[in-house]
Amino acid sequence: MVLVQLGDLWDFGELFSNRSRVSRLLRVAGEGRVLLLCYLAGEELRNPGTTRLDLYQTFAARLPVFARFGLAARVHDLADGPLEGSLGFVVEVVADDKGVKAPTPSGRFDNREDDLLYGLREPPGFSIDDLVQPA
Amino acid sequence: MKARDLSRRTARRRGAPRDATEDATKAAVATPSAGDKVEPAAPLMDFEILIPIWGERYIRRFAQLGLRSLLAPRNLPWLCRHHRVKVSVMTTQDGVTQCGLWPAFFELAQIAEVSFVAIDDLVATYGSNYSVILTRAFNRAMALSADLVGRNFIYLVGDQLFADGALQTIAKAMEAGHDACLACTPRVEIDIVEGMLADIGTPVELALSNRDMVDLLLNYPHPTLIAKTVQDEAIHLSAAHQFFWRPEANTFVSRCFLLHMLCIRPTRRPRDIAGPCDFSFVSELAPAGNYHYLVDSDTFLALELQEAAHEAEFITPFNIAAAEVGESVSAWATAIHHENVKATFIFRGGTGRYLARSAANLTQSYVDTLLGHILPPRDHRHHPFWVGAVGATVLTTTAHTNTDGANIPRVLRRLVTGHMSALAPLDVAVAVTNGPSALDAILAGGARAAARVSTECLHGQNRRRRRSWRPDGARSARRFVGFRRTVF
Repeated sequence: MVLVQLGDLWDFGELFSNRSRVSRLLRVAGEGRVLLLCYLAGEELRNPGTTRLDLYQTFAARLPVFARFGLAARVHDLADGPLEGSLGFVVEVVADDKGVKAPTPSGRFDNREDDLLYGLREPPGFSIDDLVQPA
Repeated sequence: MKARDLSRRTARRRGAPRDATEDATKAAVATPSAGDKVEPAAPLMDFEILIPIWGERYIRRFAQLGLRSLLAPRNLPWLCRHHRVKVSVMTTQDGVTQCGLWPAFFELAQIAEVSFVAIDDLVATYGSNYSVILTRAFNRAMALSADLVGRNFIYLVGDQLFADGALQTIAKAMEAGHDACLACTPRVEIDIVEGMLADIGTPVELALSNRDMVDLLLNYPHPTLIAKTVQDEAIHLSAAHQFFWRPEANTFVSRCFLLHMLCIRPTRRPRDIAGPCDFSFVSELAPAGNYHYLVDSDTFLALELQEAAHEAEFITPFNIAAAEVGESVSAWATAIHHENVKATFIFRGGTGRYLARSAANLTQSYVDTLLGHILPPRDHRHHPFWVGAVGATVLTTTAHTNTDGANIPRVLRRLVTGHMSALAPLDVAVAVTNGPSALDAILAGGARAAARVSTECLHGQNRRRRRSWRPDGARSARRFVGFRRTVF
């Protein structure tokens, strides 16, 4: 599966705004699957207080989330030349052979969220609430 | 009551012992009925009956007809005496209460362990999309099962009526080592049949012989069944997946692409099942192909009870020739459907003696003509019916956009095409956007199936309020404004 999400920076921020969003995205990710999260940032870059470096750091700060699930995430600059400086970034997420694999759940399911048939990959004891920013 | 509590609620017979035989069926200690012959002991197997049923009307109908027929002596009572049986009823919280109103459910709890699995969220999310609710309810109940692999799952739906001995036949087929049993369950008109059956049997039992059931089929076939009866090499149903012949007054013969997967003993635990249950379960759970087709109505029979108006919109006054039918079937048929159509089903009523060999000869030329017009099978994974049913727009190479992706940033285009080439042949590509984009054509051109979903659909939020981005990271309170799950 290749999944490509097109959006803007607001969408990227929203992605990490609650448990279910991150959970669902991680459910889609995995072996043989590629996520390309593409965020255009033209509007934000018109703000004189925002630089491309600020935006890059916004993306880069979230990459460890994917690494915890054995997924390799890289940020690519969408600008392919000096005239495309307003484009933004794309986050490429692929299964990483060298990464730590999420453990296979045991045969017993206690929670619908653990349903293997839905393909969830969260390791035991991990709380996605840790990723949700406080109000 | 929380959904989790509901899923663990178990109806138990009062005073039933909790010992090492807890997992065995309660009826293992019951006295066999007088009509039972002494049978050699077969190895105990685990059976789990899965019944998704919701809505007062359908629960009532199931309790009055389908469940009563399952409580016929050689169905559940026989199965419970010879094997370990668990029954999982997938229903809403209201449904649990409604089930408790019917004596047949009480009787069921007397002979088997009954669990309720909550599906309120599925019913709320998918509404009238019966097929998706059914598939996901089956998935959920199987996932809750302690031992998926090696367990015999019997998949029922609320509008089926079983002949006495149907479950015994299934059990014996599974005992013989088959991985799955498939059957054609022809439709009859419930509007007529319901009243007739109400006066037969007891409030907790409806024992019908196979021949009596076929007589019901012969006398009260559903209008869609008549419309897909082949005459002069033509039918009158525009969405046919089964084909019937009536060579004699007391016989129906059928060839079917779509069959009901009555029983599967999974040989593996799949990671994702992304397809309707009757398209995907057999191939995903038991891919070896060791299937048993219940082709003879004298050994197995189940009927589907449907209102006369059901799918009446597909009935046409015009002849539909094999070429047109083939084009329609090509749009959805998968490998298992191509396998199914090799089986010839025969339904004999009264004193009928029509031979299986004659049935195969009668139907083969039409099936051969049909197959000549049908394209190679589609992949059942991410089947367009499923992708569409869970809220996505199915993309094709000719529709939605005629650009070559020129509006997509070059870096992104290189990444997309690079990954699609590396994963070729690619099963599915999904664009998450809130409208058509140049991405559609790129994805549709490089994957077996391509779909577009909205951001809300992917992330489970069905509405949102737009805000401006603030680079300092300040945010308003987080919002949970909806719940919708989609499996790709």
